[in-house]
Amino acid sequence: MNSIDNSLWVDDTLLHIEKQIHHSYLHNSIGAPDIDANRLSLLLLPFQYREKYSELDRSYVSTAMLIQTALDTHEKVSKDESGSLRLRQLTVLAGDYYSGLYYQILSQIPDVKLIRRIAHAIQEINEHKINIMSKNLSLLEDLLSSLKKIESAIISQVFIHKGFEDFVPVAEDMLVLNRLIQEESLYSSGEDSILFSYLARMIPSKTPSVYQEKHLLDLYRDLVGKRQKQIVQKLKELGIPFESLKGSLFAILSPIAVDPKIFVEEG
Amino acid sequence: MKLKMLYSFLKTDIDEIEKELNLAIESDTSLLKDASLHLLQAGGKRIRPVFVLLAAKAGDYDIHVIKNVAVALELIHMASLVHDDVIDDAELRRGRTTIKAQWDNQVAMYTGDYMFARALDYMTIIEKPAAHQILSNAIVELCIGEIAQIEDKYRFDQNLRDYLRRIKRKTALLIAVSCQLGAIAGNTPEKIHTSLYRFGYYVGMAYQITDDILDFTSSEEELGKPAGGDLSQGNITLPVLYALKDPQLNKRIRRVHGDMPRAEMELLIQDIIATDAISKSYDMSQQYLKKALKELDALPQSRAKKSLRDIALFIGKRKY
Repeated sequence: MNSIDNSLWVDDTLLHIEKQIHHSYLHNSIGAPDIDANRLSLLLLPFQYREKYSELDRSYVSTAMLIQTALDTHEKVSKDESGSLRLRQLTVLAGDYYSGLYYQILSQIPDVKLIRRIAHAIQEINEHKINIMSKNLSLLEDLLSSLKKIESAIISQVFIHKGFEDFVPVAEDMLVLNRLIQEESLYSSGEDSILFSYLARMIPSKTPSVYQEKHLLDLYRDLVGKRQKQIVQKLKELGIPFESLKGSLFAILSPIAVDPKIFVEEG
Repeated sequence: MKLKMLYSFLKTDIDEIEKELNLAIESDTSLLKDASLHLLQAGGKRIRPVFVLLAAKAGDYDIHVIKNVAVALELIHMASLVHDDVIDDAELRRGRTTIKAQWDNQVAMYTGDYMFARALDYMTIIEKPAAHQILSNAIVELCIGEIAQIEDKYRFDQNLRDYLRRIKRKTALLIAVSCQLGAIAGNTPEKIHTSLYRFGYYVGMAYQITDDILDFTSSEEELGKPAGGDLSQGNITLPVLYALKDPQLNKRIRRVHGDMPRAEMELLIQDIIATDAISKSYDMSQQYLKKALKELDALPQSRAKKSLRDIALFIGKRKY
């Protein structure tokens, strides 16, 4: 199997996915899907670390990105009947089409074992999505645990399949951190945030309303800070220097990673 | 005669598949289980599992192996129905509220994705790469077909080839692969499973053409929706394609749009029925059925072969 030039891995894989996913009518009507470059950087991390990335590896990475894109596309289907019917119809079909492609690519390799692993991940993700939606979770810890599964179940299965088990905890924490930041962005723009609705429950009811907002953001920053420290620690254990990490996803670690007390003390 | 009578000798195995379908949708998440069960309990013909079982009878029939393919195909079909109801904004299916109506679009999307994943889980018990290649190609084609159906709505300049390609993807492919995968899981030689694929394909084409004819000729009571609904939604089916050849009707059909008054639409439907569009469409469905029956010549005589033949003939004669 040919090897792909290290510096081109992200671009090459993105181009490969865009080619596979292309459907002119669909994309002219609802737009091409956003491929999550952060997730892609994370998927490539163990390959970068091992300095080896074959065409077959690219197929595995593309598959994980395709199924994630499929699930993300279905998240865009409006809950109510508002919006254009045609947009909703094509959004449903686009998601179905992308998930069909994941199955098609893996059957062509052929890798039945990974088809099964990813199928399990999709089941788990949808169970957790329904649990969150139906408000079955009473504790913040339960919510965070569900978010972790939703965000990382697919990537984790690909890593385990490729023998990169060591990278699973970092991937889980990175993707949860990424999700927490997205939730904050929703909250700041006045949209519904599941995370902030749970955090709000933790504020003592007697807290004066002027302090509630500050209290909420403190809780959020505390959560984020803890995750950042955990990730930096795990990266250190894997022997990965912060400077070598590629992709904007890892920029969210810089406030912690560049703190001399935390990261460079053993230097 | 009822369809079920044509394969009554499979009753024990069909009951086994029904049990397995109930197990397949088990989940610790009660809402997900309730939503899946809601659709499962609405019933359905289970025609895909029946084709899987009958085709497998041409080889080494082991229900413990074959049932995985049968369950997978029914779950794929069910997942597509759940998402179709979001696409069509449908309130009722098989006389029951749809998942999207009972809960909402989001629950329907998650349930459909969950069922699809359960289907692949069952399918991976069959470790033959060819089986997965055939099924995954069919799934992708099915999606492309559904997208094309939306693209082709109210496009009156389409031709017969467009229509046939669309119904192949929409209906015939999944029936064809049900037959082929049953045969592959039963370890039949290539000659047999490709014949069974073609049998399923021809039957599926005949089935869909018949469906498209019945949309014009059945009563609202039989259809559970107003007759001619396909045309008013902009779906150009075979009877419409034939009717478009009449210059007068051509002009009127081209004026069809989503908000056309019901009385005007009913008059148009009556005028289409009065042409030879229905009989020509019926002839084409019969041609597909003949081809289907011919494919069965490759199979040795058996009860399963007789059932396949009887089902094909039943589909050709069905009234609703």
